[in-house]
Amino acid sequence: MKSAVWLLVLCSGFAHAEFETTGTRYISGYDFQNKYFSYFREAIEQKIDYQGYNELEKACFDNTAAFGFNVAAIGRPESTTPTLASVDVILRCLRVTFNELDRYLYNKDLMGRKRNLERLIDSVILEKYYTQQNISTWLTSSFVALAVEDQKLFVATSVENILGSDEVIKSFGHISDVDAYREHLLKKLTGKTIIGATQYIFEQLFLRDEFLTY
Amino acid sequence: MNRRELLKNGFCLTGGLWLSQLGLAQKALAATDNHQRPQFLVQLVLNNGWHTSLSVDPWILPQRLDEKDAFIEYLDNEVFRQGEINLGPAMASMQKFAPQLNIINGIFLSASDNGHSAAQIYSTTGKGSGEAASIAAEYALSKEKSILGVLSKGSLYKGSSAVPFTSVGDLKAISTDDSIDLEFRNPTSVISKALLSKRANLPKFTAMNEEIQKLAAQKITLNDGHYIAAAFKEGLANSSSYMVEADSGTLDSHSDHPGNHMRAQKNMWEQIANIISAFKEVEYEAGVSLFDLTTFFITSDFSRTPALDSSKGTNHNPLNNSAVIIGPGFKGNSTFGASRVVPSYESANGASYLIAQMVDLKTGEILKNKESAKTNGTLIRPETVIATLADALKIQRNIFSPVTEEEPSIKKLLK
Repeated sequence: MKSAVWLLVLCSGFAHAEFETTGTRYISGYDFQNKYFSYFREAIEQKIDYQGYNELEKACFDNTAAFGFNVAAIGRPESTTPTLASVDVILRCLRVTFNELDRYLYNKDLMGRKRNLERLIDSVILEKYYTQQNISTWLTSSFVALAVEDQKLFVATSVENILGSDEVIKSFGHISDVDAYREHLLKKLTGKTIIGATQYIFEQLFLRDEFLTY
Repeated sequence: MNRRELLKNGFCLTGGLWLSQLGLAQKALAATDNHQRPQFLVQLVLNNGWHTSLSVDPWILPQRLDEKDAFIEYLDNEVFRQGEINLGPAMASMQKFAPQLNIINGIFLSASDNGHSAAQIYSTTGKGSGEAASIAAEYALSKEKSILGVLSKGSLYKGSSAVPFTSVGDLKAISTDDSIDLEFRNPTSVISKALLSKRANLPKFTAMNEEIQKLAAQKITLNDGHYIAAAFKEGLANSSSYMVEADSGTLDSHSDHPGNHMRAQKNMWEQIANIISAFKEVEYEAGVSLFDLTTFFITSDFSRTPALDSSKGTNHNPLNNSAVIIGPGFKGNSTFGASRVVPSYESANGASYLIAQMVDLKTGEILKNKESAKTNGTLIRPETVIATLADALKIQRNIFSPVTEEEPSIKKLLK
């Protein structure tokens, strides 16, 4: 009984340190930022436009501590693992990025639009449906208007681009049946536009351990 | 004793018992009432070291020192005086809080300058070793773990503890979005836990956002204080560590001090006054605002040397600091402790400096006489201030790492 009480006391004392004891190594703030922006490189490098970039900067760079960056005053990150704040910041950053990306796609040069999309949507689908003239209408058209094979390809490519191959995904141990997961995601895309489906996939996958760990 | 006396005495005895029981019951009810209402803590730090004579510890003596010993850039009539409170012109925005203010002057940090960071850590932790977290973090650790942890602006000093926190910036932008799918996830992963916590507490986040919208609808100009108070109200956090920076300029006026330091410090106090006022605008329940339930602890790294040097600047003065406390556990309109200017002709390095004076901790008397200082005197240190806060906040000292159970607190300031 005595030892059980001690065990309880000891465990409660370590509750705060649970992140360190999980043994999961989450990516650093620097790596996260690089990884994040590799998907939106073109838009970022072009800096969208002044107002757009300001919005993006505010949403994504204002709280570098939530991304796990070193805090100068203490010489280390505030937390070594993502927190509720990190989840919220990542989600907000994605929303602003897509919002600004949307603006960029409509306002800047036509080739730039396509280059932006290549990191987000499967290239075969892009080749099949994309023409420079129909970009606005195509992106806002219904996802289920795509052929069923293309819908599946869309999800499969996104999952592979963001989380990795099936073997890699399984090795993390969170998803045992990747086919079932892809099916699950596919069902959630009903009723969304192409760009809406893309954003949804990014939000779901960027907030997964497979994406945020080494 | 006859029958009449017996009856009379009996009535008095039973009546007295009944009345005393009623009194006890009332006290018990009041205690329950207070017990049910949570207590919050906001730690505000004016970053970079304040010139205390411009605010918390103004020059009030009729005779002024030579300007080479103390540079006073205001007239006597610019000092606000109310009861025990004297406020320099930089603190004009805080005059409205004079009945609630508790000022502790003459806090001794160290004989030598250890720089900003060490002094700030000592002033907010009460422990020079650096292992204890700031009082804001320690208070959070002493309570049941909150959803958002410490609400912080600027760096939160956590010592050797793992203290959960949320930046005030994030708090302001927190979404009530619940679109992230929790299926196909390992529920024990950090990300899943964060998402689950968000989902479980969605009503609280929604209530916090509604509180903010309600204030905005009343045409109230929102500041960080409203968000912190609203988060406290919804039980999302119970303490905040807030670093106050001047909108322009800095307190660290090693050159061009005149005018510039005053402007920066005045701006910081205006921010602090706005934050504290915001707590009055967030209602906890009918007739009780968040201000009534919150202790505000305001300090800086250290005070600054009283006179201007050759660069017209002032330097670090770790032999003295001050603190301001407002809170339900404190009497209010009280000043405790004092500093003294050591003039240049008495100073080893030829420059005047401020030094904390010995004080009788029980009576508050400033002990200028060496003998009485030796027998009854105490030098107020940051640990004395933190111990006083701990007592006011009813933190059990045996589970509180910054100060020991033996560390005396300033009882005279407590209710």
